[in-house]
Amino acid sequence: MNEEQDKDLVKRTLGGERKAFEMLVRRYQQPLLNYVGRMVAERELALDFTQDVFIKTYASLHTYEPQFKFGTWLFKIASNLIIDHWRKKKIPTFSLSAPLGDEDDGLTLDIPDNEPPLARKFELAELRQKIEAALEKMPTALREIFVWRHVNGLSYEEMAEIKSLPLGTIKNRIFQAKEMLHRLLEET
Amino acid sequence: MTCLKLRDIHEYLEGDFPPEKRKDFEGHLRLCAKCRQAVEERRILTEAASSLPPLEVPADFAKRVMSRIPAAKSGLPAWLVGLAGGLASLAGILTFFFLSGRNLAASLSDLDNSLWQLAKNATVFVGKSAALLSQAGKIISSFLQVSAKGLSILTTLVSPGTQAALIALTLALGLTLFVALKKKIRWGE
Repeated sequence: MNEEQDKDLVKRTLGGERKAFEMLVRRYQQPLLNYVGRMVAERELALDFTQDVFIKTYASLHTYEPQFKFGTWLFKIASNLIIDHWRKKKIPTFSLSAPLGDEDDGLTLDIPDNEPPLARKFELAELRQKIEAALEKMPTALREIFVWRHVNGLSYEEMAEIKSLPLGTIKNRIFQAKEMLHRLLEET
Repeated sequence: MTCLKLRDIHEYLEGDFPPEKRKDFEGHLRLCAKCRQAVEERRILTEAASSLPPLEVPADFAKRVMSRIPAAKSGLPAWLVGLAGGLASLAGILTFFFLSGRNLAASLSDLDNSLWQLAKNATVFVGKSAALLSQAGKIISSFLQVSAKGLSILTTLVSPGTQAALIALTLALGLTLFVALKKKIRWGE
């Protein structure tokens, strides 16, 4: 995404040009739905949420600070909206910054003996389907980070900016998410 | 031979290793089948996750979003227009008494038997202010255009409470200036 173009579109939207905001919507609707759709499993709910993110973004556009990327700001709004949704549904939303039991759990362990070869177990298309299903079983905070990293292609720095967390914490959680996904797939 | 740790594998696949560490890591992989398999498993998993298909966005999604966004405000908010109209009427009355040199309180007390007198004063007022207004009209028109544009932007950028505070401050400054001018200029005679 071109950062300067985004900032220009924001400026034009604030100047009263609705078409500029529509261009922002068209630019970010796909990546946003790719993320939201994997955080709330129901498609219609995901579409509603994605719309709500854009509406909320428009309403608070005057608070956008140009020194930050528009995309990360948009994902921050989306993340907060989703967290509110989980809280209302009383789904556990443990914080990324809170320790997950043993901080090194899964990260420094030795490679298990006789680890089943996932590559040979599933064809690629089937593996993708299994990954989608396994994502739904992951804790929400780890799922979010994993989707941002591998579906949206966000960098560690971007994720750290969105969640206002240290880089090291984000890296730890990425590794935990990946290893958890591997274990979930082994169980299928 | 000490096998690799899972964390090392993930860091290697993320490309976080400095060149020297990467070289040592790959050296171990050449010698250890177990670690090679572990790395390969996680590489395939990462590649599969990074190639998940995009979720379908409906063709009219952007239109649906824009239909929920209120239309851009053309002109000023209604409350601001009403306030401006009231202030303009008040300014007109005060200017009349200012130019005619009459005291407002005295005029009000004479109102019941001075309609004719009022008409005469109004004629004096119109005559004296016609020249003034023809010049001021051009200046005021430009000022209002700029103000309207500025206020339109203001209403989108600033909260209603802050808007009201700014307008109240402007009014106070205007009234202070008016009173100061009246003391300096005598236009009644």
